Amino acid sequence: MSDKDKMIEELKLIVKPYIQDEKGFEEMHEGTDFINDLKINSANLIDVILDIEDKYEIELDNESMDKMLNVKAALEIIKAKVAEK
Amino acid sequence: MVGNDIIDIEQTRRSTDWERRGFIEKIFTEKEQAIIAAFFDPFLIVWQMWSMKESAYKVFIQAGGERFYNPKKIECSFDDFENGEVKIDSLILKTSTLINENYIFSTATHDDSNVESCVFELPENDIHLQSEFIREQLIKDFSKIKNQETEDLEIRKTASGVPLIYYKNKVLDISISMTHHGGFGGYSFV
Repeated sequence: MSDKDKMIEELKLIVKPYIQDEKGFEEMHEGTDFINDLKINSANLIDVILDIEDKYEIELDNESMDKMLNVKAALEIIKAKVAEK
Repeated sequence: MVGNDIIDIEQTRRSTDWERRGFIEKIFTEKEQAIIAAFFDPFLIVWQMWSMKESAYKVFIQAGGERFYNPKKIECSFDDFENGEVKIDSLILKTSTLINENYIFSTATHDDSNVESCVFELPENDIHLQSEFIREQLIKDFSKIKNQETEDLEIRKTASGVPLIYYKNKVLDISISMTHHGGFGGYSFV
């Protein structure tokens, strides 16, 4: 499994409690949009962000959150923040 | 233009812990946090402001704004308990909120234009069927008010997710917004 696939699997575990679209979740890939494809309630997206912070021990400031609408952006932000540690 | 947002109070109590560490700080500006701290029912004001932000964000997107996820970039202030103002970048919108024991429902517009809204209990649990139900409800009521046949009316979404209403395949100069959460849904048009 590539690093990216591994991270997508980790992210799947994080978003699972908040998704409202099973099909979108099963097929979750880099291009998946949290709100449009997984139907995550926008308030629960804050939970996703807080869970990511806890899991990777990073802090996502509001600037980095700004783009966190899909899996690809989330992976990039996590990677950058982890590298900064 | 109009944007709306509904919050099912019971569902929110069950599914979202606003007192979770970091939650408030990620969503609300310092000014807003001061409003929450001073309010007699923090749960209510937290979710009222959330619905104000959401409804204003919908207008921002309708106006051609680019999608973003940064609730602090959207700031609420109040004229009174029901009416407020929301600022997103240079866009300033008027909001109006209705609260009862079941739900919180906000609408946002550029001015005090006469918004037609309706809120109802949803018969479906599935999120896709709920959206479908709200569309049908909007078309049904709209057709009555405008004296048009429901068959001639259709709602389509643009690539950026903005709903538009069509009459005989022609887009109408009417702004619509739809929302659902938990067991409740609603529409607005202006």
